[in-house]
Amino acid sequence: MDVPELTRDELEALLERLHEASFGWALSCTEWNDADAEDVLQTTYMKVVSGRARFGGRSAFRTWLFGVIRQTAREHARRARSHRQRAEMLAREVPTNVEESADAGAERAERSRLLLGALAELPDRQREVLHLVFYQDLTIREAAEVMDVSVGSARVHYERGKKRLRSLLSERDVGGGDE
Amino acid sequence: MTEQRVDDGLRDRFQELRAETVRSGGAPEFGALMARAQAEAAARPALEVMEGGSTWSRRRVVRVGGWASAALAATVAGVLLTNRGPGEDDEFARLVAAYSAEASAGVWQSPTSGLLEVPGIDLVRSLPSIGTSVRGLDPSARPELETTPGPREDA
Repeated sequence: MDVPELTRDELEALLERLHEASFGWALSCTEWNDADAEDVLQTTYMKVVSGRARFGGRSAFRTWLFGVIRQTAREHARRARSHRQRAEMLAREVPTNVEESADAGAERAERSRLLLGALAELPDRQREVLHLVFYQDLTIREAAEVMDVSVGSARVHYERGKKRLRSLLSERDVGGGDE
Repeated sequence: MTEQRVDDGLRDRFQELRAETVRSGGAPEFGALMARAQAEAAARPALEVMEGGSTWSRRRVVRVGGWASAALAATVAGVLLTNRGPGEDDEFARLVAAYSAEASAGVWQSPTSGLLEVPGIDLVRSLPSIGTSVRGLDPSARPELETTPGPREDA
């Protein structure tokens, strides 16, 4: 499909609009490591503005961009450190607001920590599809495009991931399973 | 529907996580990140491009190519060394050589050749041809002629 080439300004405007969501996805792709997510996002933007990653118009810009972020995170992980080391780091580094020490804030932080811990135990594909659907509000079809798998495969990962996540959360928590 | 309620529960947890992420700092400032990205783009050498944004640096290409070449060379050498068994021609040549060596050494003998070994066979083998003298023969090869004494002259 031949799509009109986006200008540099248009590209930057699109990137800025999706910046917060892109960072959330980059966090998920880097086991929730802030520094790695920032590096991945910077490399992704570098690819986009330099034309090294080119939007072909075969999908929505957001799904294409998330695909580039995912690919870049994988390259980054290969260069940086093993997945195991990253998972260990996750257990120590969880986004918590240090200033907010009130009960409500502490409880939210604890619930987030539990969710991240449970997600870390899921296979990559299951974790990815759940994040894309529940955190990024993508459809399963869009998630499949980002993950470069068929819709059927994404749906299987989604169902298995939900089941496993519910089980993990109900073991540890505070209202996660809702069952 | 129970399943939907469960999904909503999970969705709420993720949305809570999203809010928590924003509260704890959120994304880095877009302008600064983009400026660094542009500086990186200007500084980097040209890379191969794919639509998905996967890139292979020259160093990586050289490294992978080097390993692939080494592996190919090792495979070819291994095949040449391990598959060097005797071919049909080699085997035939070896049999011919063995046969020739045995024949020239006179190793093989007929099972009935012993029947030919009779007293005086040497004489037969060394019969002089017409026009030659027996005096030239090896004395040991001459047969001892048994002579019966005749009547004495003076008897």
